[in-house]
Amino acid sequence: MIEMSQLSKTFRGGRGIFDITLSIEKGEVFGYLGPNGSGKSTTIRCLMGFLRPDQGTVRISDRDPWTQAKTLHQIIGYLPGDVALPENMTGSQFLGWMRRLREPANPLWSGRLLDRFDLKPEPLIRHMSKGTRQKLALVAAFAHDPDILILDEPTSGLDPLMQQTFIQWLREERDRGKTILLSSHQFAEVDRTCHRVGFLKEGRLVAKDSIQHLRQQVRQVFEIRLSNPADLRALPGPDCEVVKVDDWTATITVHGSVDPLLKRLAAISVHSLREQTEELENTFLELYRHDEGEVEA
Amino acid sequence: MKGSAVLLAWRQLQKPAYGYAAAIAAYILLLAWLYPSVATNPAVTRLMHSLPPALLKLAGISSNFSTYTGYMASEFYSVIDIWVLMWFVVMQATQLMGAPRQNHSLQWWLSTPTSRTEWVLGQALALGAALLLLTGVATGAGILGAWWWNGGHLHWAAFLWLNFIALMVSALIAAYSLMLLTVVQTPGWPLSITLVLYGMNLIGGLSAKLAFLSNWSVFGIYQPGQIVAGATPTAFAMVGFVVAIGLFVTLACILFNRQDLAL
Repeated sequence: MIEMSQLSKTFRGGRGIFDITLSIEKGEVFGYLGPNGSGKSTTIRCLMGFLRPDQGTVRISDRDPWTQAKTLHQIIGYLPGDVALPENMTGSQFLGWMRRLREPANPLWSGRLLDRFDLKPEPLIRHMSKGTRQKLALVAAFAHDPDILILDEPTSGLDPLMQQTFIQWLREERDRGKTILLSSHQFAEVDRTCHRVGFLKEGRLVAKDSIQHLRQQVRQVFEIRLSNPADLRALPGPDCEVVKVDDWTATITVHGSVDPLLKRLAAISVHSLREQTEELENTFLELYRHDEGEVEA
Repeated sequence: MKGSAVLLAWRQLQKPAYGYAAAIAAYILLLAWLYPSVATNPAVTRLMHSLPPALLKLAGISSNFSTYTGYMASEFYSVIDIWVLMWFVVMQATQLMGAPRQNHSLQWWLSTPTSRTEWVLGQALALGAALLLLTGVATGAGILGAWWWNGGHLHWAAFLWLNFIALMVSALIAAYSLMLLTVVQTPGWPLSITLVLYGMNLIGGLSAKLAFLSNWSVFGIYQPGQIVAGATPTAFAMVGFVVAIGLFVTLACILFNRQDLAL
């Protein structure tokens, strides 16, 4: 469905993307990860036909986005990373113009999305909060029920409740057979939606992996506060690293199953247990620190 | 051609276009209302004759106040109209082509099934429609003024030519501005080039030896005093304008299609 072969685009100063080869199958959800400036948005702009590749090829549904952008945009829903909406319109006007430019698109789908994301589009966009703008952008990007979704950090600016709504919606779209390219920093988002992930570093795709494999490899970090400082001695085990924060608190990094740790905790008095969410990029960097050149299918 | 792209561009243009049109109409009607007292006032004629001819030429003022059409050509069309249209065209072309790229809102419109060519043509047609509105309002207001306060005395052919040529000149400025704005997003270049062309015409009019400067300027064809006197441009010149407008719009489409858009 989406094919990139030795794709390169270089800007002045030597930045850009280099030699990216990636294939995303129909119905697959691919997480596209990388730190800021790593080239995620450049790749996405090549996919949208906004940038012409210097080398290599891009094909979406066997069409070239640079020369056949108009045809492709009928089946693509694009959510930019920088949600720059026209400030002098109301949300309703903006959605109306998007619909007119996409005619013939089904207006009912837009209404369903408005309900789903609990969005009131009547105010002027310049008066909307960041979260409301993001919701408006989501509705605008997918109001024509596209087959392919290209999302650049879609939950940026959404409150946690709305993030859950979005992730649930994305899962439903996945189940409807949509092909999705998702650029994200959030593990929960990628973990719950993607089939595969790829990590981009300094313009190069340094790793690809299935989400199942990544899930097995990923480490979990907990902050534990004990009622009795003496119990700290009971925490270490072969499957985890323990770092003492103070006399009552420790940070525990677990590789693999948390079951042995929970069994040890059951034997002592625990005041609180809190999971620390890790940036997905950090997880990836940790996993591939020693073999960045390795790319796994 | 995509009608919704034209309408979207028109949405951006309509407020300034209506504002400019209202101001033009009000100013022309004021001039028309004043004309009877100006035409019959010997002091005005004496004042005109006392001023240096070069100064009058620079200000675009003629002493031909014996007819309503000549008075309008002198007091409105020679300087004010062309400046208003020139400013409107360059600024609005910048708003249409440059601003959406600078504030990245273009990424939304171009993520729809709208080709870049359709986008440029949409902006060009909307700008053309706005120019048609402005010149149409100027024509209408001039005719109304003649009818209400000047007994309907109007040199119709000359008056229509004045407005038509103003439309063609400003359409040509719009076309090359759109073309330049596919490469640069600020009004600096189109405005500077337009001012240089205007200056060439002004200097060319001061001396026969410098007349070639007027011939090289887009404004050379726009000589309201001569048009009222019956010296209308040739059909060849008009065809040349139409071809040039088409050429610049085509170039704008080609350049925009080849641009990397870091949206």
